[in-house]
Amino acid sequence: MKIKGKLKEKVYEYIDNELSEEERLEFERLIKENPEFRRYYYATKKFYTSLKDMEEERIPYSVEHRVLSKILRERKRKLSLSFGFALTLIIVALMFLPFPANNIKRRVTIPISYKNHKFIPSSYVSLKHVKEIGITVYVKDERIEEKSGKLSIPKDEFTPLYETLKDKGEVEINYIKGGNEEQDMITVSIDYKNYPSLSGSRMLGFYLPYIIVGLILISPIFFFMRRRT
Amino acid sequence: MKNEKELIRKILKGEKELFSLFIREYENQIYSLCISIVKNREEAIDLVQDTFYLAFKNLSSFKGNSKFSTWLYRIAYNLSISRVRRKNNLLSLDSVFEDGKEVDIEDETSDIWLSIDEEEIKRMIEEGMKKLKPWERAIIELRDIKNLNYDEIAEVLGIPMGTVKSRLNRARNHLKKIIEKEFGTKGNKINHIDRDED
Repeated sequence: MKIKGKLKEKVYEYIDNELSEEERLEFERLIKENPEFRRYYYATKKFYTSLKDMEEERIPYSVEHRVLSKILRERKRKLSLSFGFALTLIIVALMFLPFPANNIKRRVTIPISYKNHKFIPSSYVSLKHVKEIGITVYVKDERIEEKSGKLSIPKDEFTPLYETLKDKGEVEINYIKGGNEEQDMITVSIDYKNYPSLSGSRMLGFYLPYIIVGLILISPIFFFMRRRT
Repeated sequence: MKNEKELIRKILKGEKELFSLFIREYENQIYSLCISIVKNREEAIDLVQDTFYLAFKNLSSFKGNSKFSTWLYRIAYNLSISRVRRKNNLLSLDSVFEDGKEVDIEDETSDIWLSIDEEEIKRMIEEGMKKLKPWERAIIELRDIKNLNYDEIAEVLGIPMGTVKSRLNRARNHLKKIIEKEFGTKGNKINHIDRDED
């Protein structure tokens, strides 16, 4: 017997209790009266009951760790991208403002009697960047305004002093002649650029941008190395 | 799972580690759907991972109109079907239904069901399932094994509820037919004993 498609569907719906009261009664009447349909119904019921009783296949191992590490790695990647972007901005900014060579004037006042006074402006000032050295004598009395004034050092006198600075890295005052009085003072002023290229942390400050740029440039190597491992 | 919305809110706020609770809760269910479609363990495990990863990435788009598990099933189903389609180079999901038209599968009553025990039937179902189309396996898995209701299945598969019912019956009858053909008449593995059950 060929059972109509709609009726076949009703078998599953009947078993699942999805038929209306009227349909259910009609269905049960058919089962009772039609032996072929009854056989079909019981066969389908057995098949369907077994099918519904099948168990889900369980995952052999949890993917929790893998998924979570992927998620967190993604977060790290985003963070490093943001960090890299911020760093790039900083570097670009630094490149536009690379250690502005601020002119700094340092002054020290010493008694005139110290003929060979050594004046070291700063431990990190490169003498290559010393722009100007001025030596000024002031007389400390009431007539200071009238008598004193800036004593300019002629170029020919200045040159040997400058050479000394270049060689030794310090100011050596050995040409100055002041007044006879003990209390007369000289003021040494050095005008230089604060170009931090000599040593220590300042030196690091100078090279750091280059180190960072270098690290960024070679960072893909580390990435590929990690992938290979 | 209780407080799913609250959990999602926390995850979206930055407590990403909490997502592992969803993985623990649903990985078996997602896996069973994936493997019913792709029939390969490693691929199914990959798909489970992809499902959760994609779900995490699109978590903000989950509006809570359906169950979270239904949403996950939908992602898993789409990924799995795409995988099978790529693998088999199938053009359309509808090809099995001949552009959506129903194909009547002849279903003559076979008595094999009445003569064998349940364990044997289950073994035959397991074998028969392998011969079904991936989407037939999926719909049977969702309804008859996972007990999803028609609305949920319609949402997972992205088809109207009426179509769910017809496809479901078609898939069931197809499976039944395969088993009857394979185990009943061909191999003669089953003795036919006519008997009625009351």
